[in-house]
Amino acid sequence: MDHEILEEELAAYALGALPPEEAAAVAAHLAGCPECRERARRYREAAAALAYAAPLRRPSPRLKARLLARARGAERRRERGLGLGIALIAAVLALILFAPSLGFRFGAPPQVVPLQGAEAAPDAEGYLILEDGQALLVTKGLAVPPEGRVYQVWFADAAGRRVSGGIFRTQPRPYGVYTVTVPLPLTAYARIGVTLEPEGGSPSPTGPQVLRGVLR
Amino acid sequence: MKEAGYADLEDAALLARIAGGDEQALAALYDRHAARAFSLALCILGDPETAEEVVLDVFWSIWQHAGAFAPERGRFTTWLHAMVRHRAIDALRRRRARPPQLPEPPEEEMEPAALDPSVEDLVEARELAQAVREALAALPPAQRQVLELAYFRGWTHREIAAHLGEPLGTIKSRLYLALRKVHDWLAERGMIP
Repeated sequence: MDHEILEEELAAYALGALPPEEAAAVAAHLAGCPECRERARRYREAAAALAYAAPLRRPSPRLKARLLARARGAERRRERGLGLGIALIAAVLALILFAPSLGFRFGAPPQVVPLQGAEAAPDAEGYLILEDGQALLVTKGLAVPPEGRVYQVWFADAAGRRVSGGIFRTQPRPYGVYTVTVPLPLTAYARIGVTLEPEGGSPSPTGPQVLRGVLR
Repeated sequence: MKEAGYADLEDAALLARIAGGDEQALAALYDRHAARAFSLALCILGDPETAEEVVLDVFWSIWQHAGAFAPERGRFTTWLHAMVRHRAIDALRRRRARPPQLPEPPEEEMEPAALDPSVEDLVEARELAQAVREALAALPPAQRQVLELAYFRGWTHREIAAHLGEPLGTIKSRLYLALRKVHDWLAERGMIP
């Protein structure tokens, strides 16, 4: 990715003003570029300071009472997911900005593959961010697998042959970020899928599909 | 002071205690930051009730995930304001209501006397608020407008371009110039790291 172009992209990224796909692409670049990561951090500090442009107002005193009552367990636990694209971006951003050792390399522009929930998890969604033969999988709304089961990533070619991209277990959080093993040459593969498999993974998919997407 | 001792602790120290289930630390962190968080949510949403729900949600998730905050990653307020903004914008999109007016003209800072934060925090926040208002006031109006549409409306550059009927490239460079100037203004004054 061109550094000249990236300066504008970084500013928009820090402001959260990029569409999810573009934000994911910038995030993928940041993973391999400490220089841009530092620039993004500075823009983010400036963007965060814009909060102080809002006229200062006080919430009602009742709000603090509600918070503390809830913390004491007086209110039933009520988990609410984050918003759609925002949560994914936040996840990618958190991982990439703060995990410089992830091992992304600077090179070809990253490819972002949106994933849709499949039959076993219609509400799940995700992105696969591919760059230089490495990949990150970002998932949202994927339930913690039952005991003794894991999720497994699959790359499938046009003939339906599948190769494993690794296994992962989700945590009880709205979203998760995982590294994926990318088969080479990737161009041989047309689709990506995630299935539920026994602990340790399977040689080929046996369980229900939870996510799927199409590779270009 | 109600939470004697806690008001003197830094955010990171309070968060460490919150991670250990200390309600008083949560109360102290709330006292220190809730007004700014609420103001931001209110500015985005224009509706105090929803803004309070957003603030409650954010502090509730801090209560549940305080351990996730790593002080070496940056300031707590950067993290807090990002969470508040994201959730407020999500709420705005869910509601699909007409967003409120952008924060103009700049208003007088209200003294949040009842919140009982430590004096240093208050002064620091007040100075930062003043510097941000000056930085925005120093921007050409067209630059200020795109910056505010991005930050307080949560619009993407494409949405801003469509709304203003301007080329995408123009909006991108305006956003960049605006944020760059705000950054430089604040950095020159030592207001941001």
